Amino acid sequence: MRMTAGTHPDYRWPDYRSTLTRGPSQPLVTIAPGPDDLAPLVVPATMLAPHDADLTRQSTGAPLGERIVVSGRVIDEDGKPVPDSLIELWQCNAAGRYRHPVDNHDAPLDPHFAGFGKTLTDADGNYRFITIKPGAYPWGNHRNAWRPAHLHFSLFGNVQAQRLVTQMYFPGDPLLAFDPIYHSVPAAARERLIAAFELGRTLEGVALGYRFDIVLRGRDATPPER
Amino acid sequence: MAGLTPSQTIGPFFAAGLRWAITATARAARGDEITIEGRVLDADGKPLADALVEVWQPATSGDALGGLQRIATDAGGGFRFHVARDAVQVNVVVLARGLLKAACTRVHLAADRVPAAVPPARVHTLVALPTANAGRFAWDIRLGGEHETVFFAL
Repeated sequence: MRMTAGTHPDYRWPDYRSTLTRGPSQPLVTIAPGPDDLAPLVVPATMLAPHDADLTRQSTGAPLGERIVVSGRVIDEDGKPVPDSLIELWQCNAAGRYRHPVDNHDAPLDPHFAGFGKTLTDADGNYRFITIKPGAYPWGNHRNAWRPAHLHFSLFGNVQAQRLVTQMYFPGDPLLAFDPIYHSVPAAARERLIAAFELGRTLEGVALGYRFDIVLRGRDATPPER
Repeated sequence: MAGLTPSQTIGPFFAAGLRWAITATARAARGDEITIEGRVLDADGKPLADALVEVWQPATSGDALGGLQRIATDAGGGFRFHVARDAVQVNVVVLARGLLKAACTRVHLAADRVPAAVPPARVHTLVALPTANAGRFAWDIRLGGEHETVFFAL
């Protein structure tokens, strides 16, 4: 039986083809974090531009698509908030197209949607983005392969050991059942990647609200047992 | 204990979104630094043109974003960054399409600085070697194959 305990995917997941040549196959070497791994990580607020957290207001006009507000709280596994930490977000547009030179999906670019932003968590670990619901898009992994709608998240946390890159999915998406990237996560942890629709977070008349809370490693976490 | 959020791949389309910090942390080598150049290679020795390399050193006052240097590999899989000549610990994180979670390693300028937990036969994968050009060292990151770089569980 395949071991599926834990939170993170294995490096090699045959249903996601490119992991077979890109995922390391040798056992990881366990070492204790050095002082640098636990050094505080300070991101100056001057790195943020005015509309970095509102992807619908970065252009001269409004992007096409369904406006959404995605907000939540970043905590560590001990339940403590992760304050003043950088979150980067990037995504395709409502038609399923990234503004990227190697994305050759035959869907239109939106001149008013760049598809990326960033923000800092507040003193209590809270963050909020306003954006457009991304479309699904095909990819070459297998026959008739489509990625479910997703937002890419990159989190720095407060120490290097908390760095995390992940993806947020939408509740009820029928494509989740067929997506090898989503399924690479052990079953018990998979649904943590699906945001919750919350009417209370909805901006009335403006944008539907989703909650996506994120849990990073504890600041003083020891290396996982392998 | 709250359940940790799982990792997912960075995918192939991060460039525009993450470029701001590539630009912000790009700089020339400082007086007390050497330059490390190499390529990110897959298990077949093929270069990764779409990898992101993040290098962490202790922060200094001149840094834009702590001790971070963020580099996108070029069309030939190449990267270049600068480290203090007397660096004790340089953390290197590789993210790419096909990597479901970060691959975390360290680079050293001498074999005797490699952590003792690393099997002796694999120590060479963590050591950058001097080149004919003064101040320039060579080091490739191999995600698989015979000389797969040592990656750490941190």
